[in-house]
Amino acid sequence: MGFFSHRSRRRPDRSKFAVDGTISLWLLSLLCLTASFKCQAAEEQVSEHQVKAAFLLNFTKFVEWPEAAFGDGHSPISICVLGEDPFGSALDQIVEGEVVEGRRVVVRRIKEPPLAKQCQVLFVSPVIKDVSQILTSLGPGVLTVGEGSDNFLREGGVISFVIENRHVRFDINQGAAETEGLKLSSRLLRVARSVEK
Amino acid sequence: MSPFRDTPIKQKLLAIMMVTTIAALLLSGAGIVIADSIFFRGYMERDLVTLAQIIGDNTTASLAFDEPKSARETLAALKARPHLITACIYRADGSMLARYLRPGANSGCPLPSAGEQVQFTGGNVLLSHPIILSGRRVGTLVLLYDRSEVIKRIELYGTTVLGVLLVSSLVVFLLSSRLRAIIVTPVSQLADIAASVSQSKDYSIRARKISNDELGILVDAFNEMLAGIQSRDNNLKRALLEREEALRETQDTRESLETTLASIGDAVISTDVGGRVVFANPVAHTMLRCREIVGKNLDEVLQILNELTRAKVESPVSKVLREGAIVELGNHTVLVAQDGTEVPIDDSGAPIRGKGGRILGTVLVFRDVTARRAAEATGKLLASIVESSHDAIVGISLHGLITSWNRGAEHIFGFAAGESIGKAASLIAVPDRMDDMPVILARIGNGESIAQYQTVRRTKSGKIIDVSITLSPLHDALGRITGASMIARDISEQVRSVERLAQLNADLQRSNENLKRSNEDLERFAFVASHDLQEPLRMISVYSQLLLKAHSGEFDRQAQMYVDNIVGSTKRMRELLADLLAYAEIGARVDEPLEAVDLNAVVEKVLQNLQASIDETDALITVDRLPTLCAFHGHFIPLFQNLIGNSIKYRSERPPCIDISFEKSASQLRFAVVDNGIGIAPEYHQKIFGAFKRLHGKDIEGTGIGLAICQRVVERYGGRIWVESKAGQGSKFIFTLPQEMLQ
Repeated sequence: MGFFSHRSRRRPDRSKFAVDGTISLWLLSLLCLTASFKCQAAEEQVSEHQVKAAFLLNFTKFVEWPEAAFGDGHSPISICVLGEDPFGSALDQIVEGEVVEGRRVVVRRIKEPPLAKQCQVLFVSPVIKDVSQILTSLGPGVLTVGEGSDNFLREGGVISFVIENRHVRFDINQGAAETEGLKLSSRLLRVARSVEK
Repeated sequence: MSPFRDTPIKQKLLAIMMVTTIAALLLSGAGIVIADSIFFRGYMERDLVTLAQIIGDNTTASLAFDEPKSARETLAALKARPHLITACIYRADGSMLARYLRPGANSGCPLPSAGEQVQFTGGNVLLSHPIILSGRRVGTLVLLYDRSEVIKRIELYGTTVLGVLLVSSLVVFLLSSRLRAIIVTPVSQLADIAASVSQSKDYSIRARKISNDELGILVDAFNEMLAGIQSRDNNLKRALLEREEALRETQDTRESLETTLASIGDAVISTDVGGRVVFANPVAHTMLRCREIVGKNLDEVLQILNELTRAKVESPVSKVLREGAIVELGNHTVLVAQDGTEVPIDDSGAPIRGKGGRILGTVLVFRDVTARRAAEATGKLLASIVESSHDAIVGISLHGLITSWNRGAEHIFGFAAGESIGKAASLIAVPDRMDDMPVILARIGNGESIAQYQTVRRTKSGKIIDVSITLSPLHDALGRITGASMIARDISEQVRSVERLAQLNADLQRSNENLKRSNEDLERFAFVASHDLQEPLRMISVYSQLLLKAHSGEFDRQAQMYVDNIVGSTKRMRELLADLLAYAEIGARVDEPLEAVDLNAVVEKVLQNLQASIDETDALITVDRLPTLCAFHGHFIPLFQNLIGNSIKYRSERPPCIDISFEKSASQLRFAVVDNGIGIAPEYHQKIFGAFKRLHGKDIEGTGIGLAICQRVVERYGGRIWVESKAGQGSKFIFTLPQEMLQ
């Protein structure tokens, strides 16, 4: 064994990395890494909507849009918020400066259902009543994200946030995605709480 | 390595082969193992990085949406890699999202590092792989890989190499034992032959050539060398024989020279140029009184002094070396031998020169000139005796010619030496008695001496003188008679005085007889006087005492004193007369026969006489065993009584200690009376023996005649008496008597 030298290695202290499971801590870190969020607000309470805002951005990284979904090759990926905006400035802060697949990511707040190629991600606020109608009115290539009940997916939504064990998770309607012409990454599918065909 | 140096070549060769083989195998084995481990390490690193990329890609979503479950599922697939110990996925903030631990393993999750990193540590490989999503680092994958795989490979290789090594060594050992014979056989043959040559000194032995390689050349060279040595050895032996022959000749020459030197009468010493003695003949040894001369420095053994100045004379060796010529020592040199005796010597030294005149040393020859000196001295002594003699000493040749003429002859006969030497001896003969000389010379020529005879001779002035002549033959060194020496004494005066002497003798005889008669008369008178005076003295004494007894009451003090004085004086007078009588008696009674006198009884009697004073003074008297003499009894009591009595009388503060000793020598009897008394100063040693000589006046009573009696007694028998003493140190009276008195 003369050819190999022993080198002692300090073992990491595992307790330092133990996670207590509260939303606030890991969400804060999530925000820090996903957006150009200046972590000076570390001590602020991370809200459910901040997490969701980060998820909205992350979805764009696991979804492949058809060419037709964009105006041209340089068009940004627009995350549109329809109806009442629950995120406040959080979404803007997360999205700022983000580039996915060569496209900038921008936030748009809209009152009316978007036009074709206007939005690539559409967050439908839960206060919107006629969701079914809005969803059907949309053109192809829009990743629709809703919140709360199964209804959103049943009515043709693609992704729906759910709260499970105080964690923000999401369900996916793969059929709706295919209808929209979106290709969802298998990795995204694997992390979803449930996937409907 | 030094023990290895002495092992036989056979073993050295074996060792070399074995070591070479083992080293080669070990090196190649080690090379293979190292190379393999390096290649395998690269392969493993690439494999792990690929694995990490796959897992990282598969867990981006899990990280993005913080979904540990799916991450764990992804990691669970790693079960297929048995050497992976643990895999951990960390979030960007460093907290852990998910981990995989090999079943049965017990390990913590290693810390993630900043970038892509592969670390080989001990038995493990640690890989830290950043997980990137859309250009952002979303987390880190850490893999800990077990390298037991590598170690197992190394062990396998090691075992293989070791096995190969053992087998190869065995094969090499077996092969080499056959192969090395190729080298070893000729070499050991050479070694054996070299050993037998060096042991037997037989240079005719040759080695057998086995091969044509270097060893063959070596054998050839060895044989050639032996041949060379053989011929040189022969030459050497021949040269040695010649040299021995030469040496023997030299030895013979040397021995004959040494015999010569040993038998000559002079001392011979030779030295090297440093002055160290290389040879000394027996005479030199004897003269220097030193057994070991050779090897010493000459100056140590040969000391030469100038006899007159006592200064050290320069060593002849250094003188010879300095002057390079024969040198002689000056006169008056003496050799101081090792025991300090001094011998006058004649000495000369010469350099010993080798080829080319170089000085190799010195030779020193010296001889003892004591005898010559003595002869010279005797000659001078005789000459000066002859010269200073008042007798005429004249040498006469057998032909009757005068050959020597001393000053005495000049004085007696009036001729100077120059006038007489060479003339006929008849020069001093009386004309009418000329004919006696030829007769005398004829007798001398026959070796006869003519003892003293009286004759007459004639002086230069023509006066005829009476001479006494003695003639004796003169011999030369060979004992031949060459002439006569005539000693003549002028006895004219003597002849005249003889007559005068006869006259004087007759006168002396007469006066002597007168003296003897008067002396006898005197003695008789003294005897009679002292004897006859006793009677009236006794009468005075008796009547004085009667006077005292009868009329003492009637005397006044003065009258009493007068009478006392008369009594005292009378008593003293009587003692004086008794001593005087004793003194006179000693000379008398010459006709009475002698008797045996035991001196022990005499001393016994004396001690009885002196008992009172002995007791009074507490004297201690010791007496030797004394002899019995043939003498008159009456003489010895006074002798001993006076001597012992004096010792008691003249005692010091201490009680007297008196010792009477006797010893007998060949010719005389010697008595001594020793005391510890007041002693006698030397100037009185003679006087005390005179009659009436007293040293102490009236404080010690005595007649002053005691020692005179002693002397008279001792001298009466032909002895002598004297005293040895100092004032205050006791006295020793000694008297001797002739041996013949012994009974």
